[in-house]
Amino acid sequence: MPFSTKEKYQAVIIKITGKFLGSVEGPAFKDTLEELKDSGKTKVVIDLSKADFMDSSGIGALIGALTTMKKVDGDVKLAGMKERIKNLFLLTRLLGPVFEDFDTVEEAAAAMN
Amino acid sequence: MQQELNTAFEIQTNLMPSETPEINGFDLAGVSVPAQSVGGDFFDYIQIDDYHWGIGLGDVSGKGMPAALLMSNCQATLRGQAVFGVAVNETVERTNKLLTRNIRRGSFVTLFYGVLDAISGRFTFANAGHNKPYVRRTDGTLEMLMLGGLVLGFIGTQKYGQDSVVLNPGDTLFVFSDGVTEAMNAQHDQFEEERLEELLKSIGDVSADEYVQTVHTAVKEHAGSHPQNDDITILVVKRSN
Repeated sequence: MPFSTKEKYQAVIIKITGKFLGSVEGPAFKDTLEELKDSGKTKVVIDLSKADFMDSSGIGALIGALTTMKKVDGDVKLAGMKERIKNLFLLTRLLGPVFEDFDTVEEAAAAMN
Repeated sequence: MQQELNTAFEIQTNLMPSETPEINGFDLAGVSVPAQSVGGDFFDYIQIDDYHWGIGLGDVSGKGMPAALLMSNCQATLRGQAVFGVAVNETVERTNKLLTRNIRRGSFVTLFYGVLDAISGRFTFANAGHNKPYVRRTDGTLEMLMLGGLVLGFIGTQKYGQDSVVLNPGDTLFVFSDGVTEAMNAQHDQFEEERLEELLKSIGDVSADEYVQTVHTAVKEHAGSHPQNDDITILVVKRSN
């Protein structure tokens, strides 16, 4: 599975590694977010420092995560984006109005706490 | 299920322009090749009046049937708004507003849409998160249309800007979906913007259809035996005189 979860900095860190295709990883990713929400863990940082590629449905999965957590007063922030993925978020103009990104996981978590 | 897919494919095919419009002084061509039985890309030519044509290319997030249904919804919405003949950015804003009301969580649409004034050659456009198109001038130089904007389907009240470019005789507008630049070969190397730009510069004075076929062939050759992982859509508008 190209993503893993751990708890640090009073947040849940979901680390994505390699290729993140929504059509492949989306259902498991969504289930993970639902489980986190149900257990009250609603502050999530997506660590993208090891993610190399993401397709549009991968972005959709992240949007789904954000929507899920915002509904219960939680939040999702992005951290450590490489240039290729950052370009995708810049092209779609999702950085700013929809997502906030930070250089490090620690900074992203601190922004929520 | 297969029969349903066949029906969906047929409906989608019927939604794509069955004929390329004949616009005096312009040569147009487009192709859309889905990665699966049905796709999430679309392109369209919408006649607004005798001299104005709406030209759009959209890409729905995801693939398969859910993307195809949203694609059909988006295309119909865009058509419905474009014919009002309001400003380009307003057409995109209205389309976004309607889509945002009934879009599934996590889905979105990128859209490049513009209106061609067939008398002056001026093309006025807006871009909702779509890959930035190019204008190839007759001397082989490329201009990227830099205006951007938020993808459709998120914020119903989102405002969009618009910009314009004049197509002079011999100039070509090249619009594409990310299935072109993200086409992968067996080594997972993508086609990439740089390769596309070099190719566009090298294409000579050919018809719009040859333009489309040249790029599509290059993308297929790059991918080789690697399966097509995303819909590929290409739209070319060339000013002939």
